[in-house]
Amino acid sequence: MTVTQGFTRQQVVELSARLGEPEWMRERRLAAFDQWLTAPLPSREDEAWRHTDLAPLGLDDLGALTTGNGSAPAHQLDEAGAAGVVVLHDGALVSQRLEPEHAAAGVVFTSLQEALVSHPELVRDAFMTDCVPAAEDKFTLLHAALWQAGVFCYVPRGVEVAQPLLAITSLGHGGDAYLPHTLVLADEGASVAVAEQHAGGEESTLIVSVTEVLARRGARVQHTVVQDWGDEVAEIAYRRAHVGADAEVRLCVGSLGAWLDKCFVGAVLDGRGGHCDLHGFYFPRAGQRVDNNTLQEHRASDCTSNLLFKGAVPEESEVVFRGVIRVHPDAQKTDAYQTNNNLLLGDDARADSMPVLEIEADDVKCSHGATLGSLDEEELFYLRSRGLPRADAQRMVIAGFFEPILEKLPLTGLRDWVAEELAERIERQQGAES
Amino acid sequence: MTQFKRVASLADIPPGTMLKVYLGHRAVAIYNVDGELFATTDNCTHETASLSEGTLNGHEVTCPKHNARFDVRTGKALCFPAVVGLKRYSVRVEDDDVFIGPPA
Repeated sequence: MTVTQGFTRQQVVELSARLGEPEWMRERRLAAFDQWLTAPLPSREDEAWRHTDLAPLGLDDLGALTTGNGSAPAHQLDEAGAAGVVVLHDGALVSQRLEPEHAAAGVVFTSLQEALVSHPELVRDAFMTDCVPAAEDKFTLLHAALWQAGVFCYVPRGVEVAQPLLAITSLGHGGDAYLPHTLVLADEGASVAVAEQHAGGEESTLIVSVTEVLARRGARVQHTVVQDWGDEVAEIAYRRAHVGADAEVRLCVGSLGAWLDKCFVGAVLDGRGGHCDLHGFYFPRAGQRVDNNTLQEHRASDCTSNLLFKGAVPEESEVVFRGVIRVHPDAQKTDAYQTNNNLLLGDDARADSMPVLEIEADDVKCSHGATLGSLDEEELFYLRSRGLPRADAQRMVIAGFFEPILEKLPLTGLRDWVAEELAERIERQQGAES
Repeated sequence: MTQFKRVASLADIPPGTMLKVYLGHRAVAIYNVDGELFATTDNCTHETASLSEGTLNGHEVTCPKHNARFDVRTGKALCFPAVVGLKRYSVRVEDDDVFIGPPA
């Protein structure tokens, strides 16, 4: 498997020209493409990839990019309460709005394509440099060379956006490869919450997405992305925060769709006193596979990070969690914790949980925990003894399992949508059992 | 035959050999033991290594990573480190075509 046959340098040049990009972005794309040609494909000998079989992705046959026809997405979230909305469908910007007071304060919330034209200086320093470097692996290089669409958010120094911003990225039919990018940049002392919904895609599609969240000194950022791609979609995602001194970041990733969701999610704490919460939830459908590789990388002293990933694993689905806490020699007084809880809902469900601690400092507090179990019959018995039918009792226990994460999701529309999706999966699970 | 999918030619799996095929997105190992075909999930239940890259000795397949062994007829795990058995699939041969069907 080479993955070099399909894509061409000419495609990169044409894509860059079509988007009307600055020269420097075109040069970066071409440099990434040249590196991508010779970069090795991850193999199952690589620790982070040993549970992932790349053969079903059909990488040798890829060569085309998903292109949109300008149509609007079929379903949208309720936008109530959002201070701004960006909607991308099949890679094209369908609509956008931002409350005038925030625009007047210098906040930018638009597509990445638009931002490259209107605010190139903001994108230039942040795009695939410190947070998710372009050269990280073969897939990030492919993304850097051929990303087609994305979301850009910038909040100037000291500006607070009280209400969340909402970005919707959707696919219609899909097919081929789709490479969306999200860049959130919060300047010193800024505050913002960005929520993203990724959904759609009916045909076999490979999505390679990158999310970069940069929180400068003292900034507070909450970023949430929940994906419900179609059953024929496979996604390889890189979602990472770069946390400056005294900054606070809350990242949340939700995985509901795609037959393969391989997600590298993490935070790099690069300034003294930074804090990060990493939350994740997953409830795949039968036969799907969720593979989370998390990273809490402490480079500076006096930082804290807290990770909680919870998921329900139905019959025939597989979940992998590999969580790394890495503490550099200078990162004294680190306090890092990670927890992974799995609820197995079938005899043929599989979950692997692997914590990894790489600690090079001597004055730290790092710990981890993992649980794996089925629905607690005692809890079900208690609820049934109060008059609830078994199905309702199961629904309540599963909903309660996810509640610590779901209650922190921004926007009522997003919470309601996730709750509906979880309820549908619980019903499907109960249907399979009966 | 509607639930069965053609995955290989019989000539691709001579006696004593194994072949990895895909049923949708799922890897399945087909074993030819003295002319009789068996099929199981390809991933070792211990550490998800590909069993078809291991060795086949009679009805026993040995994982290339940690030497877990399984009986390809029943899917049963025969020794540590594997404790969970393999899912089996139905196999049919028509002329030179090999078909894989639903879990057996």
